[in-house]
Amino acid sequence: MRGFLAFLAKFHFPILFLILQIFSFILIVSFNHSQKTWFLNSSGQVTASIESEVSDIFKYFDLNTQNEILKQENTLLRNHLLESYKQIKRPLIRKNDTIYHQAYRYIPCNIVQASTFKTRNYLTVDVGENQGIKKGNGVISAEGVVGIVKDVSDNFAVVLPIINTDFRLSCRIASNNYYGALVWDAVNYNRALLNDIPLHVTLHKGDTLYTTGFSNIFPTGIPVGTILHSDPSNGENFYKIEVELLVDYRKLQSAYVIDQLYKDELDSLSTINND
Amino acid sequence: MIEVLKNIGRFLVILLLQVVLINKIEISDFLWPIVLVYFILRLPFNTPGWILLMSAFFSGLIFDGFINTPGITAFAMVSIAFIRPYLLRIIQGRDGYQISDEPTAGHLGWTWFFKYSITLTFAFHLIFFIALGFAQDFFLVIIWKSILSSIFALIVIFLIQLFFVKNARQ
Repeated sequence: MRGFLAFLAKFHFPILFLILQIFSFILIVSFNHSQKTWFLNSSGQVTASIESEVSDIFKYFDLNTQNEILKQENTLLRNHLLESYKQIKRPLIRKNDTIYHQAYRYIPCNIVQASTFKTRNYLTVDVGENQGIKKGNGVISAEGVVGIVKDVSDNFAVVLPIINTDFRLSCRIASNNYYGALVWDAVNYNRALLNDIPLHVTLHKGDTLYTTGFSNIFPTGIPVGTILHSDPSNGENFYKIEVELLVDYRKLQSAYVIDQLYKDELDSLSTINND
Repeated sequence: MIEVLKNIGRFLVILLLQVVLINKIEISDFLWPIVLVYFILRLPFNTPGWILLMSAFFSGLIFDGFINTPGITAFAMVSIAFIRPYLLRIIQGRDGYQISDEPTAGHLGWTWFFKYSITLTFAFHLIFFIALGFAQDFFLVIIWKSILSSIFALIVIFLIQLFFVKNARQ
């Protein structure tokens, strides 16, 4: 405080000068018409550019909220996608929504826990029974398939990801529609193996794999990975295809749980047949 | 105290001269001498900085009230009041200033007074016309207005010096 007073005493002349000049300037631009117009115009430009810079900066602080909003919106949109609906009547004219019944429901979630280094890796997501998650629901992210819900508690669920040696998923190759079983060989967290593709099939590097929809877990056509390279496996008639997974489990943050609304019906049907 | 009253009286006289007489002379748009600077010119050497600035501000503001341009004269007056101490230091003679000296031609000679009054008067008019016209006038117009009005104002100031100020060195 004493230092500040000493500073004021020493520099009172320029400080007072500045204060008076600022005060005069305020008077000039508030009470003189043409000066006022000039001031408002030019300061308007300056403040507008400053404002936009500042809001650019503050946008970053708001990213989490914005992401949340976008996620909600995505969920809404996915729920409205045609592939989330199942056509139950097939007349020639589409009328109201009695033709399309929703078959898949998407629930947004955040990954709260994940392991990638074990042979049996699991993820935990922050939605559970209260949010309508059931055991056996599929989990996808914006990139592609993440895994399948293994256990559900009230508010959390454990997901069995592709990178677990217990995981099995049938996948279709985009270019030729052959499908095989995707398994993980516990080597690399972003590689998996596609089995059961016969040797006569022509494969292309970079070809995308999609879900088949056979398991009543995922809708048809969710991307899973791309073909990295393929070898004929020893003494068998099948390829050993190495697949690069689209989902990077190391940086996965948010996902969607897919609820197959017809799963019970389909499952009971297949049980009857098996009996 | 007498010194203060004297300066206030001088201010009132100059203000009267400016408002009643000089403001009524409308020869050209380019000619608007502000003789009010003389008040700042004549403030004693030992005036404290803050009194200098405050009196410049309020004298300017009062004049602004007459010509209906709030802040403009005050801005120019405070500017030259700020320049004044530095200018005095630059143009001071070998012996500096005596306590009895006043900033007049009579006390410090015409050469000194020319330097002093021309610098401050021109600076005042330049700042005054910039503040007055920066929103609509070309810079060249502002320069011409400042030069012509300064010359007129200086003539008035020199005449005051010549006829109304006692020569201390006689």
